[in-house]
Formats: sequence, C-alpha cells, structure tokens
Amino acid sequence: MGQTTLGEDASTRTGSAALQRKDLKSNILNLLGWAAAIGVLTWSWEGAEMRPGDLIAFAPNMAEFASGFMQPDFLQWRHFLGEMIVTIQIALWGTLLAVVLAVPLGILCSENVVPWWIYQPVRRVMDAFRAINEMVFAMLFVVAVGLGPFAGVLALFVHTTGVLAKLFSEAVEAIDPRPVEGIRATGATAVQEVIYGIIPQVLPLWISYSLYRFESNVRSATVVGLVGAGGIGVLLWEYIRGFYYSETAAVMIMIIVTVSLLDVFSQFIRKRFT
Amino acid sequence: MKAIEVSELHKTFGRSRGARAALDGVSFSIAKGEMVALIGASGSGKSTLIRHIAGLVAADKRSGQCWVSVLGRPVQEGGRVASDVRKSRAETGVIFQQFNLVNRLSLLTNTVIGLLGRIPVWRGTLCLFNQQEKLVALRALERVGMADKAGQRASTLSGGQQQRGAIARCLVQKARVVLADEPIASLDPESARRVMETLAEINRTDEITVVVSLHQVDYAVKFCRRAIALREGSIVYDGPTEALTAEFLGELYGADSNELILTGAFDGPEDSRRPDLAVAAV
Repeated sequence: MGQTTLGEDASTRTGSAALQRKDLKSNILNLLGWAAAIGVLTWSWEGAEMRPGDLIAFAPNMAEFASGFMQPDFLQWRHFLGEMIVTIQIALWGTLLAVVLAVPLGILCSENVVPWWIYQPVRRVMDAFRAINEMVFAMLFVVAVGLGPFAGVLALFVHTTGVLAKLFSEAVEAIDPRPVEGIRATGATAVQEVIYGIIPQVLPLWISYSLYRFESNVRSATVVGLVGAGGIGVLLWEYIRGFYYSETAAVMIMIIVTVSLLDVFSQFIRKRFT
Repeated sequence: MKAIEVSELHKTFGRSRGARAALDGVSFSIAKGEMVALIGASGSGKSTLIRHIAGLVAADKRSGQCWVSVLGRPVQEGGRVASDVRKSRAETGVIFQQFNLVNRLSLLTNTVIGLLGRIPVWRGTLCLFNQQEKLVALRALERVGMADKAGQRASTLSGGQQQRGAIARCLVQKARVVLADEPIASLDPESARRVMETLAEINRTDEITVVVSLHQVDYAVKFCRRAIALREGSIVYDGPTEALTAEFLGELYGADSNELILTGAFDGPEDSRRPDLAVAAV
C-alpha cells in the first residue's frame, strides 16, 4: 500500500515537472511570437509613413473637401449613364472571353485529367495572369491598342482568364471519377470523357464562378478608365483632377447604385444554378 | 476465337517491398456466349481482374506470356495497354458496383453515350446524336424495363434502376462481352434479382458473353454455369457452380468464407423464382 502511494507520488511529481517544462516552453514560444508580430507591425508603421495625427491636424481642410461632395451634380446624368453602360459592356466582354478561354485552360490545369508536364506549365502561366493586376494590364494594353474601352476589355480578359482557370480546375479536381470511368469504358475519346463525364458535374459551379467574376469585373471596369482604358473611370479621373467635386460625387453614387444592382441580380441568378 | 483470354496476369499496387500481389499469375479463357461468375471475398482481386480485362488498368510490367485479349484483340500485353484499346472498349460493356452513370444527365443521354465508340468522333464530341440513335437507346431502355424513366436525370433513380440503365448502355454499345463488377452489391434483394435476370437474359438472347463478379454465391449458383473463384489474387477453383457448397467454400476460403453469402435464398419452390420478371418487356 505504502509502496503504491509512493510510486504514484513519484509519477505525479515527474508528471507535473514535465508539464511545467512544457508550460515554460510554450510560454517562451508565445512571447517570441508576440514580440515578432509587434516588431513587424512597428517596422511596417514606419514604412507606410503612418501619421494619424494628420487626420486631426487637417480636419478643417478635409471638412471643406467633403462639403464639396455634399451637393452631387447630376446635371449631366445622360453622359454618366452612357459611360456607365460602356463600363458594363467592357466587363461583359472581358468576362465572356475569359470564360471561353478558361474552360480548356481550366481542364489543362487539373491534375486528375492531364499529366504533370501539361498542368505544371499551364498553371504557371495562369499564375502570371493572376499575379498582375487588371490596372497594370490596362496600362500595357493602352500602349498596345490605344486609349479606349478595348484596352479595358483585354486587360480584364487576361486577368480573369487566370482567375477562372484556377477556380474551374479546382472544381474539376473535386469531381467523382467513377462516371468518367464509365464513359471511358464505352470506348470514348479523352475529349469525350471530359464533355460527358466532367463538364456535367462541374457546370453549376462554373456558372456560379463566372457570374461572380462578372460582378467583380464591373467593379474593376470602373477603375481601368483611370489609366485611359475606357468606361466611367475616364470621367471620374477627369473630374477628380479638375476638382469638380459635385460631379465626382454624382459619378460615385452612380457606380455604387449600378454595382449594387448587378450584385443583387447576379446573386439571384447564381442561387438558381446551385 | 475465345471471348476473353487472360494469361499470366500479375499486378502489385504500390512499390513497397511488402506489398501483396493483387493478382498473382492469373490465367484463364472464356468461350463466346458463356456466363461466368467471378467469386471471392473482398480484396481477392475480382475488381482488379475486371478492370484489367476492360483495359482500365495496366498489369505489372514483366516479360513472358503476360497479356489479355478480348474477342481476339489484344487489350494489354507485358504491362502496356494496347494503343487501339478504344476498339476493344467499344466492344466490351462494363457495369460497375456504383453504376457510374453521370448524375446530371438524363437516363436517355447516359444510355446513348454507349454509341460513342461507334459513331464518328466529331459527332460524338459535339453531342449530335440523330433521331435513329436516340431510338436505339430508347429500345434498349425498353428492354430493361426503364423506357418510362428515359427523360429523368440519373440522380433521381434508385440503385437498381440506374444499374439497369447501365445494362441498357451496354446493349446500345452492341457489346459482345459484358464485364459486371459487383453489379448487385449495392442493391436490395429484389433489385439485385432483376439486375441478374436482365444480365442472364441478354446472355441468353443476344449470346453476349457475361462475366459477373459476385460475393453472393447464391446468385452465382442460380444464374451462372461456370464459376472462377479467386483467393488472394490466385484462381483457386474453376468449374461448374453446382460444386459450390458451403463445405467446399469453407475448404477454399477458410474463415473468409463468412463473407461469401450462401443463404439458400433461391432454394424455394420453382414458381417463386419468377425468372421473367425483369424481361417482361421483351
């Protein structure tokens, strides 16, 4: 009896010692983690030239600036509306071309469909398309095809192709492989396996992703105009540069209303497909 | 010419040294018009063997007499699937345990897909099936008693209905050989019997060679004359199904024989069997 108690005591003692060691170790790690996080934040504070004091110091200036926005000027609403429609048209074509190209490229990015020596290079190209922002592409295409909406379409097209190819291939990689094997067993070709076995399975997701990208492309199309690639961004840029705050406010309200309406509309359609 | 010839098939999954062979020197041949049961406990290599005959998997690379041929056409040889395997696949219907229909397509589309190996590639790729081809599919569905469900999505059908759809696809394919991999393992007894009766009927009427893997030995005894029994990747018995008694199975499989169900479900009086049930539409 005495022996057992002693044994239990000993094991409890070594156990609690081990626990304390573990606590100490995790405490130190915790502390180091916090120190590192605070270090990075301080470092970035300086890099970003954070000056919150300025918000207070320049408050009167900003109030004056803001008051300029208080009276939105919709006098030229026909012109705004025309440009807004061009913006949506840019987004529409940019997205459509991207979807058309992302279907084959998405398949070629999927590791359950093609061998690694196809999907690896294709994926890297798609990464590059995605990594570079629409605005950068827009600047490049303005140089290549001149000012105007077409440059905007091309910019959205390239960037969206990269995004959709990745999303599409993720859907393909999650399919049930058994129906595809069923198609293969009938003597179908590889392309036919994709058309009958894979696409019916991923179609709802693909439609949903495409509509979502259309939404976000409308948002992007409102800014590609800033670099001269057409749409309402051109107007916005001119008004801001010319200090026409009332007109700027009107254009911004127009963008907010249009984007919200399209979001609601596309969400409604997406719900019906999934 | 034999319907199926398999010679010295070896298959090991994984490369670790201790990996057990899934198929260990399997050889047999099946004559045209036979209906053969492939029996064995789970993991005995039935599915693996069927997938090799269909050319969906390549055997281990090794030299010597290691090949599979279907209807005299090589499917694979020395661990390499034949380059024209599509031709043999077009003549071989495969039926899977999980049916493997495309859920979101209609039953008719799933059935007409059987023609992909026979019509021009461009037409199959663009989904352009003509009226006559759709009619062929509809007749096949009629034969298996599923014509009234032709327009429904496969996902809305029960397991037994999907499996009969899969058989209709083999008929559309004009398959001369049908390989069925545990076709009734996921079905209730009533659906299971209808599916087996449908298989037996296409074997009888169209002289299609049928190889069906089963672990319910009852069904093997009732529907097939010949059985090939696998154990741990080797053939342990090849002969008439009448010999498959409980004692004999115990001898072949030892403790594993519990998995091989021999319930005596078909031992009742003759009239209770109703073999015409599934094929009433013929």
